[in-house]
Amino acid sequence: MIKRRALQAPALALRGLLAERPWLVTSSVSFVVGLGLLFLAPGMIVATLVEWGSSTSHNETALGMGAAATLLAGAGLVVFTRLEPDMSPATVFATVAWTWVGSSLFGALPFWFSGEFGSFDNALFESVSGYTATGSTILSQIEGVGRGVLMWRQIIQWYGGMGMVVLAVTILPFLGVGGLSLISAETPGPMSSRLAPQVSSTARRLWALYGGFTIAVAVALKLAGLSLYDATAHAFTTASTGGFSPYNASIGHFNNLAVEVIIIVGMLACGISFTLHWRAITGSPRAYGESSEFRFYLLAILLTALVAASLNWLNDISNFVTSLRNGLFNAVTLGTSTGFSNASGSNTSGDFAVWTAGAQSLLLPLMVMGGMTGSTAGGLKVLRAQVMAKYMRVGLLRVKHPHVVARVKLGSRALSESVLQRVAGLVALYAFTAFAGTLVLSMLGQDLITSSSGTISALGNMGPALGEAGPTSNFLVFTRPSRVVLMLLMLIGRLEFFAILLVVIAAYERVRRTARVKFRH
Amino acid sequence: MSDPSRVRLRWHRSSVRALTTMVITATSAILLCAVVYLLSGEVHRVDDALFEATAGLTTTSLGVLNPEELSSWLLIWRATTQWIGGAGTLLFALLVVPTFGGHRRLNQTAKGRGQRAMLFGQQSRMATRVILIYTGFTGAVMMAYGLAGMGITDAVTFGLTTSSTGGFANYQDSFTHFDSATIEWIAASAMCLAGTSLATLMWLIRGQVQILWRSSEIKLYGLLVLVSTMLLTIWTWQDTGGGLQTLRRAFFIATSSLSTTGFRVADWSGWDFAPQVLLLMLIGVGAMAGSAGGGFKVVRVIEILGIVRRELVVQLHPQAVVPVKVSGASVAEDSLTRVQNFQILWVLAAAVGVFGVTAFGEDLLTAVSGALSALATAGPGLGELAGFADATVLAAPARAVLMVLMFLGWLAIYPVVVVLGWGIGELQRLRLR
Repeated sequence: MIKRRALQAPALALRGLLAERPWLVTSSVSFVVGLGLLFLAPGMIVATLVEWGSSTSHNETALGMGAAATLLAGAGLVVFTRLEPDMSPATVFATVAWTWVGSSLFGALPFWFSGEFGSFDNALFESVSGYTATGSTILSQIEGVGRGVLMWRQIIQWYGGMGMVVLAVTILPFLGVGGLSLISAETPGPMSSRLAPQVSSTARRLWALYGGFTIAVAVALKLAGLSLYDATAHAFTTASTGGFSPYNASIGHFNNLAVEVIIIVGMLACGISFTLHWRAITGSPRAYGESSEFRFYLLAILLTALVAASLNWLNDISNFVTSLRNGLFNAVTLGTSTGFSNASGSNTSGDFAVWTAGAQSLLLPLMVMGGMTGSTAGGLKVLRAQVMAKYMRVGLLRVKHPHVVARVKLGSRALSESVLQRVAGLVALYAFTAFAGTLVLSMLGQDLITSSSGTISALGNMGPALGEAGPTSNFLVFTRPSRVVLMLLMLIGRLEFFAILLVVIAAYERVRRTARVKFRH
Repeated sequence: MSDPSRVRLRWHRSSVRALTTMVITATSAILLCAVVYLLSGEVHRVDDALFEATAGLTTTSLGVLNPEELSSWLLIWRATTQWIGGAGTLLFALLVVPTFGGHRRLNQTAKGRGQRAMLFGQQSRMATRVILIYTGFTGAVMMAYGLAGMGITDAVTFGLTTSSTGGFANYQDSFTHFDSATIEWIAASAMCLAGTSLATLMWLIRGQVQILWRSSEIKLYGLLVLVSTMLLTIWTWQDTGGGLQTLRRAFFIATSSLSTTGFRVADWSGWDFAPQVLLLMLIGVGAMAGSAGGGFKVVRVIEILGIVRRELVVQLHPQAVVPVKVSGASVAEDSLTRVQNFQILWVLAAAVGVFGVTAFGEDLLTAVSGALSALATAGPGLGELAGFADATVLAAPARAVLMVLMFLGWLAIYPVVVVLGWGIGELQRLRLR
């Protein structure tokens, strides 16, 4: 009896995998995936045109073919599936997860076709690193790749910064059924609040702000003397806090203080909650000062910058002014999970890998924390760090007064016990994933510092890491299997754990249920 | 702490007072031990004496003295400090932790099917019994060492430092000095036992093994030992010569790390990265609650895993009520809160420690491994602290940072933070007046 069951189990599991849609790919999910792909196509066409117009063009076929494939696949999915008004939590997570996986796969096509990235997994790595706004690259010679392909890299990050699902909700109000949960499943942060009574107008406002920031940064960079191409390219990845650059030396390529200041301001602005921006723009700028999360965010970044700069200065890494400039740039770029570098031939200490160890160790907590809730930045989010700190204080208070009624407050709002538990649960999940990632990466051949900081960097969508994978290095230092792990970590981190993990868990649950039902009959 | 029952009565009135007493006792014990070192005439620097005393009492095997230059009575004293430190850990867990609503974990190792398997009676008797078992275990380890061919001084000191998960050795090359397979097997098994809770030992002595199988903490602990021994055996087959020797060394290093003892038997910094990271993680996880060992504690890991699982399930089924279970019984919410707070405190202390050590000129690898190891009261690290190195490789201020971390790790952070916070609050109140 037991033997027969043991033999049957794998067969049943397989049948379950095929029959009951365990990966949650329902009709609605495919529909949204198709929409996401349709949105990508214009970006690819723009990139094709850039490639075609540039003097060193040789990859326009690759981009064109990618655009055609994406357009076809997207159209096919949208035509042959339809949206069902069922939005269970599982469907929401599956929608987001599959949209991201689909977009990453199709976004990798131009890279793969161009032949500049080698095998498909490398192209996929670049694509995932782009969509998740991470900014880790496997290119060792970025300038050698065509301008259009590089522009596609930048555009991918711009899409990923706000998210394709939010875009879908913007354009199609009828998605509003499960819209808010869709948005909150895709937007970074524990509690995404509506900007407007209607979900679709919330999404529209998010994208309007996002577009506005992009244009503002682009114009400012253009005024600072950059070419139109450079200005747009960097505006895309500044607004999305992504960190790709079409140059090996990243921002250091320009070695221009004005450009650095503009980028710093742009990154800082996009690491701030978009809800807060909206309130400040429509109401009064005092909204910023009233947000304790904002104060915490700014304080953490500035303090890190200052202490790191002083340590570097005291240890003779660079003079005071340069230390301050580099400290500020790197604290902002890591605190907002962007990952630009301002190191250049004449400013070698912009590369934090040459900093004194004390200054480097300050960057890690900043990388873990990341930007504000509801911004384009990654990481654990300032709000969560803040809630955990307050939670801890209340816990300590309870040691002293066991029966005290103490509440964790954010502003004037007291947080319920269940919200606190969710935040704490996510922090535990983060810690667990980070440890598991470090262990797996070390098994695949990286040393302790590289694997732990690489994991944190991937989970927080940062880009550069400490150790071997510094800002002037690239992710080829990781072995091929570990790059697959990093890809997974980036997606898990960008979608705040649940979307990816839950699809896997839901699949497991369904398979198990199928198997159990079959056994019974 | 001569009469635990009286101590308990007084402490029960206020948890802050209990915690303050605990912190003051711990601090004065360290100072006292340092004074003994200085009076012996063999240690001349105050900071060295303080560091050695802290490392001793916190049961960390990271000293600054060269044991081969010390007289044998000072060696015994050095080992005794670790033994006292281990006893301190046990008594703190027993007497102080319940005053602020912590688990009586010593009592709860084996629980299930509705009935609670009580091992120890009242708290007062409990303390006496705990010390008795601890002493008995120490004696047994000493005997085993003696029978395996150690000299009398060695058997006594190593017995003291093994049973307390301390890890001080009489030789700079730690256990490789003996070059004896039997001694290594004995030490590894003893460390493995020392890392379990004392209740486990008691059940083992009583022969009621079936109760142990109900405890999920013991299961995870055993699993960690088994899996890491297996993995280390595979990973270090080339490095340690293969065969039974590799298995023995793997077992030794795994138990030495997990129980946060810190005896050295090989220089693991030359190995692949995977075993290095695994060992550091074992050090971080640490021993079982209710043992003399340090680290994050296995039971807390189980609770954190439960919280993680609950978080995932609740996302899929928002209405579900998912309990977090340890040994088949669900854990109370406020005790989960405490675990989460402890987790944050722990990570925070480690992060501040890493910054402290690097700020005084050490490299990142040394700092990360050293801070983690000190906080878990283990000892071995990577970078400059790799292999058989002692703390003399570090600059004096960096050592001071490690000292603080060891202290925090010994007292499980909470009490120190509470007392500090209370002290600051009182000072502010004084100033207001």
